[in-house]
Amino acid sequence: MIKVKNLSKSYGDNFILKNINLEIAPTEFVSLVGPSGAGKSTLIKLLIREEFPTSGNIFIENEDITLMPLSFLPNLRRKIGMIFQDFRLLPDRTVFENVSFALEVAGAPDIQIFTDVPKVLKIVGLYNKRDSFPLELSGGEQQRIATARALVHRPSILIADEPTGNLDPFNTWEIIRLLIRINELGTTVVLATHDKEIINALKRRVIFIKDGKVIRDDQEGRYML
Amino acid sequence: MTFLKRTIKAGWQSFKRNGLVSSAAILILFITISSVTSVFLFNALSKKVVKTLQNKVSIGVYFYTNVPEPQILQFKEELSKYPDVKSIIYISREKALENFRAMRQKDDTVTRALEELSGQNPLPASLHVKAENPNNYKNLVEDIESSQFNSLIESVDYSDRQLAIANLNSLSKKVTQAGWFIVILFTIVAILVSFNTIRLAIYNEKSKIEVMRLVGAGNAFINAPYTIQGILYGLIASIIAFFSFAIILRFVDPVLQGYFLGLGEDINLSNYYASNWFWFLLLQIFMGIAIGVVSSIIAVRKYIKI
Repeated sequence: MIKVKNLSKSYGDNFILKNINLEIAPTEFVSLVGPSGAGKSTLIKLLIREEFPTSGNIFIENEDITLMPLSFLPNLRRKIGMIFQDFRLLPDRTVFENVSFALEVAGAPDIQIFTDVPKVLKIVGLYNKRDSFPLELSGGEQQRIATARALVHRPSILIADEPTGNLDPFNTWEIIRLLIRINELGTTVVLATHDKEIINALKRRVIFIKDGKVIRDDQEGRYML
Repeated sequence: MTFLKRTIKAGWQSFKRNGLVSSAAILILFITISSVTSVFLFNALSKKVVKTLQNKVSIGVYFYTNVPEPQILQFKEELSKYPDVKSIIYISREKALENFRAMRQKDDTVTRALEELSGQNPLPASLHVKAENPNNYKNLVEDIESSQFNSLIESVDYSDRQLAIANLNSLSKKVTQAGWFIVILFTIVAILVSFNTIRLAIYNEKSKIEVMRLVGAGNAFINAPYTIQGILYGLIASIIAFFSFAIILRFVDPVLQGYFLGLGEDINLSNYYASNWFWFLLLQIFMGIAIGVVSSIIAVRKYIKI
């Protein structure tokens, strides 16, 4: 599903990622773990082509996205659901409109939007707040909107970059439980975090990154750096 | 169709929900459109003033007092065949005296002097000739002076008015040139100001555009609602400007007519605006929408390359 080959990223002489190689199979739940500045977020930005690598290749569903022309990027991003630490919602759109936006950009018909968006809002527990604007909601609720937006177009891959970084423990576990459920429904999940408790509780594959290098890759890992 | 519907809806919603930014953009566009409209009106006004003044200019051909009237009328007939001649007014010696008396009736010295002449009329008969084109007066005078009737003519007063006519011609050309220069200059400045205001408005949308891009929105999907917003800015600003001018000019006209005393009702910008309303509306809408849309597209393009 995802294959990273000899991937490096530098800004001038400052190397952020050095010769990364890894493979992620379909329906896997993988956590990328490492201290702040280890390169986790850069790796994720490269996976969605928000950044361009200095060298190496990234294959998603056997397609080298480093060779992909700009005009193909929207299609790539529609295959991937993204959740960010800072939510990245559209502040002047309601909860419903934020979630439906992901379907609209893919050209989904109205009937699909009016069927799927309420369903996914019920899953994340925000159906009753569908007409609210993001800034009227708490951090946990905003992250649930972002999760609903990432799910609604049924992506084959869900990438979450520190999705619980700005949340309290209660909301953190709400989001993690949602990610587990999504994974159980057949979506590949890549979770970047430095939360020890989450990693230990998940008991899934953990890739440890430090100083821009993969230092461990455990199938049922615990947090140790 | 779905794309168009969603685009219009998103553009309208963004316009409505960002009321303050939309109002600022409309205000700047309104000022821009008003400035350019004002320059067009000023240009029209100056042309009208120059043309009205030019219409008041004529050549005076004065005959010796012993020239009989039929000969003068024959000359008038001959002169009216010249292609450059627009109109000729004949003033007989009697009419000239009558006019002179009417003009100087309060001047005792002149009245007494006329009485002393005891019925004699010292004033000559004259022809007052207007040319089709003010540039042709010089040629017209040359034609008159070289005609077979030259021996009847005591004087042609073109030389007195030569300077005024030349100045008027030069002023007319300069006003027209300056008018266009001001139109172009104002338009460029106004476009730059509008463009930067809309660009700043869209700068606030930078993070929104990034999010749209990362969620998988294509260029058209991101651009289109901003284009709709640009159209709305331009359309609303131009309609406000159109009606504002219709109202304001009613108050400006009396002031202008007072200022250009003597030109009377010839100076009427309200009528000019009303009789050219379609072209003014077209100019204002075209300008508003063009600036709004081009500024939006250029501003969004900067943030779309993610």
